[in-house]
Amino acid sequence: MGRIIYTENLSKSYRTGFRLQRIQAIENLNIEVEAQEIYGFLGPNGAGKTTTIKILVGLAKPTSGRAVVLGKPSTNIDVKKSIGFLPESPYFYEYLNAKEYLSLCAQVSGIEKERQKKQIEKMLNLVRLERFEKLPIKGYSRGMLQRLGIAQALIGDPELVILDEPMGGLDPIGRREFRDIILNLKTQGKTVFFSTHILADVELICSRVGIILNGKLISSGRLDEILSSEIVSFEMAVKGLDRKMVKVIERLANKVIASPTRTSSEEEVFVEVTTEEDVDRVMAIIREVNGKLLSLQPRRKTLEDHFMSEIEKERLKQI
Amino acid sequence: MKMKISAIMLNTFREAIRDKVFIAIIIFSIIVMGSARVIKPLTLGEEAKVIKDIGLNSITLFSVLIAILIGGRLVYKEIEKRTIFLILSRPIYRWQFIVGKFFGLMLVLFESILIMTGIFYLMMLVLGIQANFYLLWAVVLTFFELAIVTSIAIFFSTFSTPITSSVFTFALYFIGHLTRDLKTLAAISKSPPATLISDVLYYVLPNLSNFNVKAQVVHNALLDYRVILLTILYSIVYSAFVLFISCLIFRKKDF
Repeated sequence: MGRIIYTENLSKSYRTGFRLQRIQAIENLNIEVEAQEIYGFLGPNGAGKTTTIKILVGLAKPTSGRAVVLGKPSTNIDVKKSIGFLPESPYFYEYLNAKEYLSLCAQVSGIEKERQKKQIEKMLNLVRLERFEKLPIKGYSRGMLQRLGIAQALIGDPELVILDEPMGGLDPIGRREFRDIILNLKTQGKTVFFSTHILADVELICSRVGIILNGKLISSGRLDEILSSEIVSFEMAVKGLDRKMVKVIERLANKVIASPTRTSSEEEVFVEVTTEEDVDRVMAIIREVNGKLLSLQPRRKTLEDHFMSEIEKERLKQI
Repeated sequence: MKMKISAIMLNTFREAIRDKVFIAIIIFSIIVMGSARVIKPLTLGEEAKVIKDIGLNSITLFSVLIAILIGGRLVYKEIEKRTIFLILSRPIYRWQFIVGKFFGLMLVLFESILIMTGIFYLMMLVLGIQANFYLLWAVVLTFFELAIVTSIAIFFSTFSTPITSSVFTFALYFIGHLTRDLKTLAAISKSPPATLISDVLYYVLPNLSNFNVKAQVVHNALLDYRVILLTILYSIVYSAFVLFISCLIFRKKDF
């Protein structure tokens, strides 16, 4: 199906403050998003995620390099017909109600008059706001605003949906609903590009991720390749160890968590080791002191591990 | 294309008429026009003329206030509140947004002038003052003067804060009624640079004195319709030019 988004050496710098100091928001960024995939754009706060997204939706222009969306430059007006966009903490016209707002969006998007009414009803149903369609937006809760945000992004059935921190401020139920909506978009053949720093959500829905740090893409790839089935460590919960034995285990484990105010050896101790041999060694100690192994769990690589190690690598490079 | 501009225009209109500032100004204008009755003893038999004068001047004053106060924050507010993100990320040209905003505020001004003129005529009816439609020429010209004021307010609003925009727009409105004097200054000045500067300012700054025909209509003096037509034409060309510059500035803006 080809590339839906690609950027070539995309850079953006701003001048800010009284002395017009130059700030490099993104630098030589090259990203590629294939058709029908859910692309997770990750990075810590201030990494350049929002700036990249603003360029992709035509709200800002690159200082150098280019951004191509659906085969055309991101500033092209026709391209915007096929893009749905939800900014971070979206702001709406508070004096309007949901129906009036969606009607405005439909008109500005150039949706034909005959389709507008149907589209608005469909969107209000999708985000379950039909009961509140006449309520001024001023009275909406955070979750309702976010739902209205996704409704306005999806109006007109766009081919590509770009979401900036869509899960921010949502409760667990809201997040679940949002994930379902995004997954549903994929089944409809749409491409989704979204930025976040909530890694658990990415792991559940994304097919590919890119990690951005200080305006540079430091890692990208398919999620199933990043998260191989390799076991990275073993987590053990142990009971019946005295202080001396805890000290012995501390020497061979990655991590030992025992309460510093432990009063008896009956309290649980959490041990994390890397190899199976280390597991055997800890087991031997437990047997020796007549302790008990409460649980033993192999831990596979998570996106968080990958994210943290990539960021760590980058920081070490800079030192 | 028309649908997009009219969507922005109607949204601007809706925003303004639900705005407390607009409602307050309209109520205040009604109070001022209504209170004209109180000064009856001071009018020394010229009651009709004084009341007409107060009425027409109130319409101008309050509609200029609406144009400056609402126009001055029209674009800035959208940027500050970030509501603009969800409009400009859609298939709409930035000039369409500016033009939509302009016509939206003009629609608000048209409506407020309509309300205030209605009240003005009603008051004359109640006070038994003979009203004629000749007075409406002053109102029509005020409307076209407002087109210039609105375009200037939008121009400032694309790059400065509401207070700065309103102050600058008000200053230009004030100067606009004195630009004729610049021409005189250029004529009597003996220094060539001073003449040049006065001439340049005369052509660049808005010339608003021609829009004021209140004294003529109140005294039933004959109006030169050729001048009125040219004044209307001047308003259209001047505001279109200011909007064009605003669009150029707005086109380059990053959000």
